[in-house]
Amino acid sequence: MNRLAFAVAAAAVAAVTAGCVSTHARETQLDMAAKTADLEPQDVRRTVEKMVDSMLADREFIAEYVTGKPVLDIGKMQNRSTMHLDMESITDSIRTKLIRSRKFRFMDRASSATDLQFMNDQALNGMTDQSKAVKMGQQSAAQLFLYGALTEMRNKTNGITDRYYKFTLNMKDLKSGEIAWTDEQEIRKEQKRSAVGF
Amino acid sequence: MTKTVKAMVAAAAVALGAGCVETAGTRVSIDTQTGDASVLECSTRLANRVKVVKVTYNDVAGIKKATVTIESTIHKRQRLQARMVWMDEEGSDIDADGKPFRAIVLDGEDVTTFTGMAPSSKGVKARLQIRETDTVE
Repeated sequence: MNRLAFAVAAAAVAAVTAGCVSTHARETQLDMAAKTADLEPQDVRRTVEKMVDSMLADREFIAEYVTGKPVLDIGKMQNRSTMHLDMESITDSIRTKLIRSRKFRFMDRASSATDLQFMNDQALNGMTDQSKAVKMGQQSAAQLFLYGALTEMRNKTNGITDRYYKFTLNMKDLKSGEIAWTDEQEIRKEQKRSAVGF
Repeated sequence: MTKTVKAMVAAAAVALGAGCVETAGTRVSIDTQTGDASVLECSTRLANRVKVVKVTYNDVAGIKKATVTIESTIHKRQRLQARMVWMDEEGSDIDADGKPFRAIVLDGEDVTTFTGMAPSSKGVKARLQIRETDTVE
C-alpha cells in the first residue's frame, strides 16, 4: 500500500513538473559553429561575401567591364541540390552588396509589371502633370547578366555523412555572349552520429 | 575532512569555470590612410598558437583590399574563424554584419593568408578578428 502511495505521488509530481517547461529565447551571433552537415546561415553568408569580394578584387574584370557603372540584371540561382534553400534570398544578398559597392547598377525585372502600371496610370488617369509623368521607352538596359547554381554531392560511410556543396556564379556579357567573370565557392561538411546517445 | 572540503571547492570551481569560454582572440588593425598596422593578442592561448607575420593592403579601382598572413606555431591542425570589418574615415563600421566569419583550417606550422575587400570606397580602415572555432556557440 505504501509503495502504491509512493508511486502515485511520484506520478503526480512528474505530471505537475512536466508542465513547467520554460521557453528561453535570446539574441545570438550571426555566425555560429557548424551544427549539421546541411547548409547553414553562416555558409550562405560566407558564400555571398566570397563571391562579391572575388568580383570586386578581379582587376582585369573591373578594368574591362566596370568602367562607368555597368547595368546588371540578376537571375535566380538554380538549386540543383536536394536541400530546400531560398535561392532568391541569396541573389538578393549578392545584389545588395554589389549595389552598396557603388560599382554596379541593377535592373529589376521582377517589378516591370508595376512600372508599366505606373506609366499607364500617370499617362491616362488625368491627374498627373504630364511634364512630370514617367514616359515609356526611357528605362535603362542590362549589359551584364549574373546567374548561377548550387550543386551538391553526398556520401554516407560508417555513420559519417559527408556533404559537398558548390556554388557557381557567372557574369555574362549580353552583347558578346561571353562569360566575363566566374567563380566558385566550395563547402564540405561532415556529420558523425554517435553510437551512444539520443 | 579538510581534504574533502578542498576537493569540493575545486570541483565547484571547475564546474563554474567550464561555463566561461574565453571569446577574446587576436585583432589586427589596419589604417590604409596612415599606413599603420597593429596586432592585439587578447587570448594567451591563441597568441601561443597563431602569429600574424605580414599585413599588406592595396587598392582595386578605388576599393581597398587588405591581406593578413598568419602562421601556425604549433604542430597540430587548428580550426579558426576570421572576419575583416571595414570602417570609414571617422572609424564607423561599414556593413559589419555583412562581413561573416570565414572558416580557416590551418595545418601544423602552416601559413595562410586572409584577404578582405572593403564594401565600398568609403572603407579605409580594417579590423581583422581571429578566434578559435571551439569558442563559438
